[in-house]
Amino acid sequence: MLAHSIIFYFFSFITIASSLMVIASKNTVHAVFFLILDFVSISSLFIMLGAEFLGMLTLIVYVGAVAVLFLFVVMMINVNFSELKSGFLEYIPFGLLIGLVILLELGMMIATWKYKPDFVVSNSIVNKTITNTESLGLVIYTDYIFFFQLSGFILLVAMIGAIVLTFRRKESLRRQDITTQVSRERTDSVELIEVKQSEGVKIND
Amino acid sequence: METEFLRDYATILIFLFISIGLGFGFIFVNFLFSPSNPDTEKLSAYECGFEAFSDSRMKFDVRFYLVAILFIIFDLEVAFLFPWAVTLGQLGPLGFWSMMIFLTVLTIGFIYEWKKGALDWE
Repeated sequence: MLAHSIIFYFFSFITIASSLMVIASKNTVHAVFFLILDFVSISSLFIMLGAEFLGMLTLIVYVGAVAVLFLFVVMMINVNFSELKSGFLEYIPFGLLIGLVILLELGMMIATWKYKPDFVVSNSIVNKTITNTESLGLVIYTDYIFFFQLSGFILLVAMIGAIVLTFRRKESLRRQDITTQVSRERTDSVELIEVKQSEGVKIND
Repeated sequence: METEFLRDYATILIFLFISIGLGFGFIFVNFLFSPSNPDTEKLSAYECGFEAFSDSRMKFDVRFYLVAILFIIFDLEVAFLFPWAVTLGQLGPLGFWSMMIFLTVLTIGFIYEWKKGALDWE
């Protein structure tokens, strides 16, 4: 139990410290690396809470994909640091407001969990005898089929939207066409001609 | 509190601590034993010649971003497949066919991007 608390506080400390470093570090690429560290420690916290599937999914999706996307965005946009700093003070009230709202939401959630335990009644999904992944799989595809299909359509829209927004086909380039390249015959391009003495060959082009 | 399952993660934890210890240990040993004569000239970009005109980071093609987005989408698709594969025996026909519809919807998107040429590199 003691080891459990020590490890919990270790990961919580890393989470809070690295999220502070995300907003404090001057170099944006370093900020993204601290964000990755943040995601990793958050997934460890999820695993410690018993949400193993969620923790692993955080590793796969956030660390493996979203962080890479952030890195791309950071490297793609030419960040001007003096320009960034100039607007810093104007945004502080707005940021404080959002922080306050999130703090209130957290406080309300903890309060309801602490003082009104029957507020959340969806304990039926959580089953201690089967694994996390199994209990999720038992409900997603049948009980929550509508939301499952909806998420599929959201992914489809995201895919098409990404292609429409970012894909530009350059017409000036000569691109590979595997079928025509492979199905090309020798007779299409090479011809054997009997050359007569002292007449030469007329190349018709 | 159920913390029995966390014993399975003990090896990962040990591995994590060893790697953290190694990473910081190498930096610390370097800091300890390397000769240190700081000089401003050592930090300057070149001994002779020009200073750098601009940032070394340059903009690159938005196409990399497109590939990353498409990767995330199929990553999520695979994430949905994991619980389905575990519980397929207990789900019955409804669970099976709901996943088939889900896969069909995403395959439509896949065919779209294939035909559009978004996967070709030029």
